[in-house]
Amino acid sequence: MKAFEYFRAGTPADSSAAVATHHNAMFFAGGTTLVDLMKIDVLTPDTLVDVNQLALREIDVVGEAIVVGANVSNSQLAWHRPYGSASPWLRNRSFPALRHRSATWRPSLETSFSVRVAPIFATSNPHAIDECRILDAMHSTASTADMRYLA
Amino acid sequence: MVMNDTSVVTTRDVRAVAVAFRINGTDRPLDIDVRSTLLDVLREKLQLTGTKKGCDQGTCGACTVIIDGQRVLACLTLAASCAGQDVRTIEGLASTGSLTVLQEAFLECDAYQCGFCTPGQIMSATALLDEVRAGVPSHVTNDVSEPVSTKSLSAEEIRERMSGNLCRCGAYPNIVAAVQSVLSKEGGQ
Repeated sequence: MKAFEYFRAGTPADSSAAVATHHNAMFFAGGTTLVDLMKIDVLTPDTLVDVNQLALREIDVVGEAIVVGANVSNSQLAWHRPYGSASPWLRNRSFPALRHRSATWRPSLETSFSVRVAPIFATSNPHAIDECRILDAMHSTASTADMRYLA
Repeated sequence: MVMNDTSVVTTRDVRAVAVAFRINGTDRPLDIDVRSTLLDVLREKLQLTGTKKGCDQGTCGACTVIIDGQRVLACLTLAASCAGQDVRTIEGLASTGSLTVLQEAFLECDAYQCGFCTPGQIMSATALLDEVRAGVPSHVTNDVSEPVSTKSLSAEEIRERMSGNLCRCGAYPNIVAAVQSVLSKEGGQ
């Protein structure tokens, strides 16, 4: 694995700033895909910005949408009541030992720190979610360090 | 390149990072290569070789450990990201000198042949039991309107929940039997 610099950011804005100001920097959340691909030099970031210690683990139901934080793991979402548990689509994301560590959404400067999704219920079962449609993303811009929704 | 922003923790030496985590109940502060996986730190730095390296790419489950109560694959976990976390390995299960009920069940049911995958199987099954006790569903749970019950866990459920742990010897029937025997003992109490 190629050597890299490693940062632990104190806030979402700091982590955005670190990724924005470092050449070839990437966010590090769950890492189950990132580490795998870094081992075989498919991904070769010069800097990793670890966001694990930031909270960002909220799952909020707002109206008919679900807001999912960047550090929400696959299993946390899959076991969330009522939405995750009612959804074979979510429950089947992957094996628990993998999905405990897998971030559901990979943070990036474009689709950053939480996403709002609309559950689409199966026509045959009003409690079963077939899929989710991404509505928008909570974004922290490096330049102004503010949080805003992207359409 | 070093960040001047004091709110960002940075390592001056790209090769070394200080990590303080708890391994099997003991604080183990270490200076490690920032690229190290948790699996390599356990095996090479701490000589905890019970955690096995099978595929080293998140496929086989031989390296399964429990971090903060949840099973994870040590081969895909950067050790540096485990700062402040509680890591439990196979060496930590029988630390009081007596085997856990699940370990006893593996013995009684002959739930292994060569034994290479066994530490991962046992760590995974240990977490599985906690997940079932917490009532979380799996992909094959038919009725998700109620939390799953330890009394009603089918062999299909156990196979699904253990599906990330491969056994090339094919000891699966006995592994399922071992997990079922623990649940039936709990259900009978």
